[in-house]
Amino acid sequence: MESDAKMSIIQKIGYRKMIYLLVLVATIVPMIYTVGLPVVVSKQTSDLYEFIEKLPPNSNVAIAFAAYAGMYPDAQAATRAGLVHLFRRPLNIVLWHNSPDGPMLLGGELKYVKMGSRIYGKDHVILPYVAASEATTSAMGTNIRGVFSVDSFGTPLDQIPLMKNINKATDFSLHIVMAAAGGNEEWAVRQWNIPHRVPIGAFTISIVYPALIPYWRTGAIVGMTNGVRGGAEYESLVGAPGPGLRRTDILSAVHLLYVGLIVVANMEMLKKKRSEK
Amino acid sequence: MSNILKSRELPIVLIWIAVLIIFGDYFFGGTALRTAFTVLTVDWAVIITNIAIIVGALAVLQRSLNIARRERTEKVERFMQTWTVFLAVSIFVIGVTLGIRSSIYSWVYNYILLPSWQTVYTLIIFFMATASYRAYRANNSYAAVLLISGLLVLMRNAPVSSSIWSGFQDLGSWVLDVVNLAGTRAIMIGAMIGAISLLIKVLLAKEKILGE
Repeated sequence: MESDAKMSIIQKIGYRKMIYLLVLVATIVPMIYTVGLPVVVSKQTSDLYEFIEKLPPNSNVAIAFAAYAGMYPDAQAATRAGLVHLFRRPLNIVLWHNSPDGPMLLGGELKYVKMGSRIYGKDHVILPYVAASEATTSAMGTNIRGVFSVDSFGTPLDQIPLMKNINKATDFSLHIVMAAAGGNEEWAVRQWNIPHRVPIGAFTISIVYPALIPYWRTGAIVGMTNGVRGGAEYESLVGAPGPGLRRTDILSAVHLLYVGLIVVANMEMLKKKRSEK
Repeated sequence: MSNILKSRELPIVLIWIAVLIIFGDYFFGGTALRTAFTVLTVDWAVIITNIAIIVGALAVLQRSLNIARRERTEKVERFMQTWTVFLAVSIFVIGVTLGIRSSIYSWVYNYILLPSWQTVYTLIIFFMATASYRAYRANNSYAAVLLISGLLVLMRNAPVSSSIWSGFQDLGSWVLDVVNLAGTRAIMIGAMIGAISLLIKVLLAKEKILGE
């Protein structure tokens, strides 16, 4: 049993309680005192932004909206900034839901999108939820009407002006997978990019991001964002500050706390090893 | 009939049909194969998903009711289980009768379900913090490499790091774009080779999970 003198402060208080308290402080304090540190835009994020920016007017863009409520805070900033960017440009957007939460979450984000002169059915369409799977993604690549017969308001696809010339992957200049929690991006690469050569973009969460880097390096994914950090980067590129840039201070504080905890733990370990010698 | 359903051959035949349709459509195309593929992948995928949702919901409800009925269950637990069943049924009824665009359903979703899910998910931050203190230690050279890589990626993801030293961005990006790339590619290629070998075993009836 260690004597009180030899015990560190963390051990005395109980390290769990101490760490939980530090996490709370690191989360709450930056909310109150905002510093607004600049965000360095990564190559992956700027690639996606540039690709969308350079799409010719009236290009068709497909969006698979795959947001799940639990993980959505990580993808929200990028999703919102991405929608703002896509709707700002003169692009035709066909969006479908790949998660049951999608219809509820998308409504909240579209409030931040300036529709301007956009007309539903003419330059953008929202299709209903379809159970996400690689097979469904593949089927949509060759025949969208085989998966959807109506849009999310019940209008038959053949009565929607935008959908008259759209029915397969090759009709699109870009396929974006938005807010997915894994899988959807890889299905899109395998079923839309490889057979049909449609470029893929991803507004993804941090957990999924490292696994997508090989696809970005090969060019299958033209660009992607990395969780809240990527969202903040995209917001700064689009010029639409939102939840990402608001959370950068919190992100910094919590990351620094993690680094600090790792350093403290390793110093304690080294100290213990030396005293044992 | 029951003998056919229980037979080992039936699932293998079904798998062969599915594989032939999917492979045939991918390599040869054609309207007939495309139709069969769509029926198989979309129609049946939707049917199976919906059946799974119904079965899952009923199983959860049944479990909650069973716990609530048990005499040895504590009062608080009994109340929580009953309350869960009540909420689940109520939200289901609201969604079916008023639709998901109704103000009541939106309120339930935005002010009850959404914060609850996000709270549960966000609690991970506390466990990650304690884990970084307990487990992330350079006990040997391998652990030290892991530790340094982890620290570099952590610093890369912290926006403040570029204000401290711009090299954190480059080093962290190198770990992600080069080291992680090599590892991820190896895993992906390995997993695909494994999937192909599993498919061959299943098709040749060498896989034990089928009927044994």
